[in-house]
Amino acid sequence: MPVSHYYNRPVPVLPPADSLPFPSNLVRQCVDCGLRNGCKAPVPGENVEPHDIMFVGEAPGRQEDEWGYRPFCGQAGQYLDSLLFQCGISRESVCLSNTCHCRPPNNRTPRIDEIKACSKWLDTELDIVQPRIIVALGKPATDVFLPGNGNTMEHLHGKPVEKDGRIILPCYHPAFALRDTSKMRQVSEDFQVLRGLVKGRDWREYHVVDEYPNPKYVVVDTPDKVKMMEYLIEQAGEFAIDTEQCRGELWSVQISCKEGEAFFIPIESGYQGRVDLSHLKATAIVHYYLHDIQYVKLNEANFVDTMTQAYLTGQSQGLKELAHRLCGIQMVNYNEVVKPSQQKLSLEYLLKASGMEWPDPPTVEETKWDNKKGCLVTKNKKPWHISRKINKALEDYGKDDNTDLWDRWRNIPEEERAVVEGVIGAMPESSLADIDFMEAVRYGCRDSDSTLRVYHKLQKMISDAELDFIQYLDLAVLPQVNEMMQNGMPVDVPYLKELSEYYAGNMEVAAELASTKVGHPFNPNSSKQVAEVVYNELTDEHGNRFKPTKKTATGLISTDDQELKKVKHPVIVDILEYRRNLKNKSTFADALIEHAVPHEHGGGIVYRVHTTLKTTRTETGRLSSADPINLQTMPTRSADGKKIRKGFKASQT
Amino acid sequence: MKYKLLAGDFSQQELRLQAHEAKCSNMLKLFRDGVDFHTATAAMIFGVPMDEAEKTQYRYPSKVTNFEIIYLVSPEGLCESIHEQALDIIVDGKPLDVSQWTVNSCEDLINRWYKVNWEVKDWQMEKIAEARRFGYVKDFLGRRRYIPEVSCPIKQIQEAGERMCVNFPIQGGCAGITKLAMLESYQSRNRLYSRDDVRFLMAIHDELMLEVREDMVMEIAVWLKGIMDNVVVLDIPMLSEIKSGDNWAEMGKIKL
Repeated sequence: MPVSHYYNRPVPVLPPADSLPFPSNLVRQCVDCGLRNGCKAPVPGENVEPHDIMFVGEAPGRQEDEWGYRPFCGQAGQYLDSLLFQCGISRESVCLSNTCHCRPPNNRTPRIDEIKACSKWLDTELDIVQPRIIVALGKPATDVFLPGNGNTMEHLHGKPVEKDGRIILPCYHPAFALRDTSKMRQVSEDFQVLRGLVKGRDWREYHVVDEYPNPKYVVVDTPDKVKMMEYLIEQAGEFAIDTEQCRGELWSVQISCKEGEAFFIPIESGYQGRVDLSHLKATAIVHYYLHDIQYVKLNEANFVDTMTQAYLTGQSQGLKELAHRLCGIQMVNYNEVVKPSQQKLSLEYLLKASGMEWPDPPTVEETKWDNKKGCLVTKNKKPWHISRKINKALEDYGKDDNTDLWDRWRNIPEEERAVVEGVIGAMPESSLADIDFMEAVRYGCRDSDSTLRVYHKLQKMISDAELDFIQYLDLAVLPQVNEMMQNGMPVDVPYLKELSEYYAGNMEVAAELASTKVGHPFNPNSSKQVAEVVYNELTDEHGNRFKPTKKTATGLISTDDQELKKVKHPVIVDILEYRRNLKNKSTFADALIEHAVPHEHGGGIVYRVHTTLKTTRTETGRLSSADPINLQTMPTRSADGKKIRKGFKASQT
Repeated sequence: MKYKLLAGDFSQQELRLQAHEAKCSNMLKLFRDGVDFHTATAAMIFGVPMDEAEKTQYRYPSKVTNFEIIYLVSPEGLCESIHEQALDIIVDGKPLDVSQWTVNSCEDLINRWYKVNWEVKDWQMEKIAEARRFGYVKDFLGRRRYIPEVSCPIKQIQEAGERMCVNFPIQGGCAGITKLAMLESYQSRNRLYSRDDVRFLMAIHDELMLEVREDMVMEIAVWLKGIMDNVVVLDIPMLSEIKSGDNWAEMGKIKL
């Protein structure tokens, strides 16, 4: 471990700007963007002299700002040092800098104009350092060096790219990995790539190229062609399968049994109804079995799920990221594919809506905490008229074709949209059926082709890591998990409704009690109001105010349960009581009622809740459930747990 | 047709797996003898006879320690758990008095526990060393968890990483055992019963939840226990308990 000679030390005296070498002296005097007002001092780069490697981060943080002359001197720097140490690189032999040299308020991501204003300093530093390798830490830095790529860091990290004679290595920002420690493994691996590059390995060795730039995609649209295809599948012994849906119904099936090739089977002409492939002896390969199995029947004992494989080997689980990282395939986003046709449908819809008369929206009562008056104020607020909102969206579209009308419509609150949707129906959603057929074929076949290629890479990783048995276990339980999802949990809806009312009553009592103890009504559900009341109004027995000890990620005063428990005042009990009842009511009782689906069974009606089960979400290999509730995190022993559990009742008919 | 909920859960799954993993002679002996594990631990830690150790004031803190030690608990953490969980335990109409349990006495409690089950301490140190050496730890079925946190210079993250190293082989192993039980019961159900008579509903931690026809409850209980008790071969048997009832809150134990 490197010697830490500057962490957690008192803040040193800021050296005067003219004592620093060029260009640091000029950076310190820069006032070219708005960030300068909010920070203590711009932080110039470190070791700005000719070096082989240069690290470019995002912007200074709190510690860097306080120090004023050294980037990466906080916790992230400490972690970066240990990563460098593991690669055998000393911090003195690299240059470190940032895209933005001033600290943005609350450590927010720097804006594009701020990065632009600062780019002259970064360019000057680059000119002096003349690095062979640039490590771009985080998305903003990656965007500076590799502009205009639509990819996320999940695609890009650890893949060196050559640009203008320099090697750019994108990497997660160490500070990000400290917040989300599950990314630490990827960061370590990325630094191993850096180590290889430093030792003289060619950057192309880390770069995967798409081996089939001109894939062959064939449409299979008659029963005879289907027979032919099934013969080829059996010959290959394995086939990757993927499905596309249009408006909730199966529209096409794509099958690949050879890399770089795929069959596109439109459901109407190829297969009739539900697709049954369970008679095939070849191994089926799917990405996200629990989704595709709703539409296709496969042999339960002979399939592989690439999502499970990615989960077991610790890769990102999205097919797009996998295909990009393992096989160099650049896949198109579904939304990109349907966007032009969606835009057309949205425009027609909005034009129709704007030509009609709509009633005025109702006034909304808004209760707010007024800082000046120091009390709660209720104001009547009138939202914009719906026609005005529609016309504004259309007007913006007239100015700029790229205005996403679907997004604009969706951003209008649901209750306001309901007025229009009640008359002319919901805005039609575009699907693959609306776009050019050959484009839909290309889009769909890419999925099954990628699945097959990704499978071949993952299969090797699985056997290298001796994960064969655990893979067998995780795959074999999937059909059963699917059955569990279809069965759902039987629930007792009348009882749950009673329970919901019971919790609502408790909430009312707790809110009443809290208001009496404070002396005026307030909303115990609003963390802002609670913070105002607890830290600005209440006093302990000696008449002293309580001091907040923690802030949230966005810089507001934290009022989570742990923090409130530190405050010794009788009202806290009621606030916590209110929260507990609210949580039980909304996340359990109400969620279960809302998602209960009626099933007819044996002459009576039984309500069941079908949660979405996942087997690839926990580190320990447990199942997880979501939508509507996570049954795994339900309180067990407490009285509340008992009450909620009582809502699950075996079907009586 | 009326149905009933039927649940099978592995009793003390984590502790049993811990005993097996660490080859802890004391824990293995207690499980083999079939005595109440928490009472017996209390008797050893506090040096009192068994019938004295049954009292809540002894049994309760040793029970909490038993469950928390596999998370590499700190004295502060143990103290907090003892105080928090005591609120649900009512003795003579009042919550249990746990005022004697301070951070210092909890530290003492942890040390005594390790003195009795010293193999567990060794095993935990081994697992942390393994993660430092290889970057990952494995559970007994081979599932891996990468824990780069143990090499992180920041203390809180490193300590959290160490807890994961110790906890993963137990929790991951337990999840594996539950999955094996799921698999066995599914395949057996497909051979023996119809999908509508025996419905799989959920697997929650160490519990398998089924919905079965009311007239088949006893038969299925015997069937499920047979499967769950024999799903893995460890140094000590992994035993299950079968419960049944109309709703999830009121499940009665089925004696077999």
